[in-house]
Amino acid sequence: MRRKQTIGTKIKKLLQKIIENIMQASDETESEFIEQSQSMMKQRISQNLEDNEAFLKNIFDKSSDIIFRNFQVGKNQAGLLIFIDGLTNSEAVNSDVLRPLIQYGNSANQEEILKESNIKNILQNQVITTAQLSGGKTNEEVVKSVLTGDVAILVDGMGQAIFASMRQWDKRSVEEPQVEPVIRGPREGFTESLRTNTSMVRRRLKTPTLKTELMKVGRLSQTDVVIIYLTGICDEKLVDEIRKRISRIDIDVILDSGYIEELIEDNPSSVFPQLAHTERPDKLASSLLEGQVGIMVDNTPFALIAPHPFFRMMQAPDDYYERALGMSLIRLLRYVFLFIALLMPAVYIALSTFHQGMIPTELLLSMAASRENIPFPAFIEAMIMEIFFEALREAGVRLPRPVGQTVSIVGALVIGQAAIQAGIVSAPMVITVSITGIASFTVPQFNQAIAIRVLRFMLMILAGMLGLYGVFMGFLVILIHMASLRSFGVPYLSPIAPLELSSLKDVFIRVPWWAMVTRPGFTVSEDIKRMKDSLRPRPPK
Amino acid sequence: MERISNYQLFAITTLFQTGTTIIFGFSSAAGRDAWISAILSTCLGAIMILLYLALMRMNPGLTLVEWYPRQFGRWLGTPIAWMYPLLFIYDAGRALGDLRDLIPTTILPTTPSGVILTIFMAVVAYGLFCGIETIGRLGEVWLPALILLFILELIFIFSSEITHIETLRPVAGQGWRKIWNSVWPLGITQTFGETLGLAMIWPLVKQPEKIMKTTIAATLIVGFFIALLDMVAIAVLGEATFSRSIYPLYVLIQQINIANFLQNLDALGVMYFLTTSFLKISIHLFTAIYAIQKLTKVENCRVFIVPVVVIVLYLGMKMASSVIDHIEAGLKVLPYNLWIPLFLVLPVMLFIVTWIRQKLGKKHKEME
Repeated sequence: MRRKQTIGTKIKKLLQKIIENIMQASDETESEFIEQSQSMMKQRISQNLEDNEAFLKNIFDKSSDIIFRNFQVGKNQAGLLIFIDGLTNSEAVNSDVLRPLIQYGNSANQEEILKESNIKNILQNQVITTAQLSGGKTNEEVVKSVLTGDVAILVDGMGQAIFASMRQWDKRSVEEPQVEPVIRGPREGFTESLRTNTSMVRRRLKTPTLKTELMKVGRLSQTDVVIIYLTGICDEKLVDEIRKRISRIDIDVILDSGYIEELIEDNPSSVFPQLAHTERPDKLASSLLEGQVGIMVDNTPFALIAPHPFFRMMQAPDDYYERALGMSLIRLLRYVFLFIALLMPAVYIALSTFHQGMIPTELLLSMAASRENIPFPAFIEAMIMEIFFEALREAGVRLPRPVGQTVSIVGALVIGQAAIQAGIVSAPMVITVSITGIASFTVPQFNQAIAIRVLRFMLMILAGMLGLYGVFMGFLVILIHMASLRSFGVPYLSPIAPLELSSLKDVFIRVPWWAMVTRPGFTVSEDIKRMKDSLRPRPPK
Repeated sequence: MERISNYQLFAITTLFQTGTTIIFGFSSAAGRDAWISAILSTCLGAIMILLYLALMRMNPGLTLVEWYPRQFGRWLGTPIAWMYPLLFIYDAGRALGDLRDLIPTTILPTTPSGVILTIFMAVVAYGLFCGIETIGRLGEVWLPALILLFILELIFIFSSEITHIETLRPVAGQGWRKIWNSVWPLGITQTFGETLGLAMIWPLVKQPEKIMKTTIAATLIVGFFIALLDMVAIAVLGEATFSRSIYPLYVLIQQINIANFLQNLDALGVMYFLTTSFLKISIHLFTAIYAIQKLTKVENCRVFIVPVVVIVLYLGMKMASSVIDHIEAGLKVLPYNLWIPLFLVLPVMLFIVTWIRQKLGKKHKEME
């Protein structure tokens, strides 16, 4: 009884403190209050159910979605269920927890009073029929597990809590990946649910060496972050490093994997992203098989892949599903258009401003003719058009669906016909800008394409000032920067620099599968062989 | 400790030796026999580089500036060693001076050379801040690209139908004396003697046992490449134009004309020169800075980057009053006054001293 009193008075004091706190709003009392409530949180669950209820109701104050359900076990033993409406499967709560608990009191052996010592065992073993059960002894655990969607069961005199996991909430079903479409290949993409996502990877790699390490990040969000990798293929040091970098993060909330990406990069001021993100389970699986590590974050359909050297960005998932020869040529095409996306407007400005002599005479004549009435120098003209194009693209992402058509039609008309007819920009410039725009979409990784877009403007400014010399110097700076960059210890330009001949099979071209016997070497530790030698199909004689 | 791989060393050596040599054309003084003098210089140059490599073997794990104090003693060796970083800085200044006149006369006629060189040196400084690993990787990326460009250039030249093989004949028609005059001392020292600077980098290579093979292979390939370029240039331009023009290889690229469409590729040629000069200057400065670091025993060599870059910029701007002056100095003054003593005489002396000391040391041991 004394214990009961003390805790009761404590709670009263606490409530007083809260009132005081609101009245005074001074920092000191606030910190004191936090300290006190934290110490309360750390305390063990009381034997007395009323105390517990009072405490928890105080914690979950003004929360309409938290359900407190009182019931009775046996004749006079009070019990309490706490769960969040919407995070739990209420049917299962009814049939697997609540009904057995109440019926247990009515069944034959009600003589057998639930004693403090065996109460938990009986409930666990004979009454509650949920698969995942766990227990907890402190108030803090109760609060945490309720918030993550468990049902907390408290019984008078038990002195601890039982958590039944029956989480269920509405989630998006598995759909086709929105930003990484393929022509041939699996059509399922990650969703916002971490478990669904890990299961999609697990379905592809049915091996115990697939590890999914769970970490919690975010003070308020308590977001589940899973490091996923294949032991034996992936370098353990790399996993350690990633674990270390993630555990360093102390932030209030993680809303998307982008937060993690920015907080664990090697060079945060670089324009190039040093991690890839994907919403394709097949892409993640193939990355794991090449010794990379995946980082999956709850509530986002984008998993991160680390390390991510530059040339990875030119590989699209289709490359591996469609025939090698055709896809190799398409990949080469992508490289051509990568250069176009980066350099074309800059080179156009340089040529038409500084080096007209380099343009073949006839082309120069037709270019000059179309530029005759243009009021702007080539540099200004290019800047106007490029910025306009970028804005159009941005509008395309943001605009609400119903007005999409309008913007694209108006945009196409303005950027195309009207601007030329009005004599504001020249036709060759429009061609340059549109080809550049299309070219930047050929880069499979969207975040890398952003880097290319940023650098394009830098090169355009240099071209406007110093012609081809400026473009060359700018390109050189980009190259030096890329050569000095590392992604989780892996040089950004590998396998070109440092050169690794065996990995070149999958950089500019993609050799047939039977020829890619080994995994690319930059992160793979032991299991270097991907397949048996001599898998090349031969017709029977 | 930053390390470079063997292939990176190969790329660095190749690009370093190609460096500014390809801007002015190799030994155009020898006229139509320039290619013979290129081959001869390569062979003699390779022997000289073998000497450097032998010195490296005799002083394992030590850099160029540590050889002298070790063999000559601290009081005599250190002042000698100090001459090398100064020489490398001066050489880098000369290489920059090459560009000073090249860019304005070719692609940017109205831009002041000060702006151009300042930007160039700023990029060099950025490369130096990133370190030797980055420079090595840069070389690694460039080498295949440059070889590809070179092959393309050859294809373009041959398909422009402007080559006349008969201009190469008669072979050595003006006597071997003329050829020899361009081999000695300029041909050997300028292109190949400067390889001594790489002795600063050799201890940083991951597989030291392969350095000799790599370096000699790179040297021979560069020699072959220069001889080939000379031959093509003479075959296209004829002896007179080849010897008279300041930038024969630039004129060579200007000649390309395929179906009146692919023409005036000269700006691309300049890019080509810029690439190799960039690497040459970067390596020169890296070796200089690294040498200064070794000599002053300062922990962070990056503090020297900005002063050295500024000095080189000043040297490059003010070294010569005109391009003719600049080339005169390169042809007549430098070889005898700087290059022969520092690239040939001192290393030979060092070799002899080291050899004797090692013999004596061995005997000493045997006596004991």
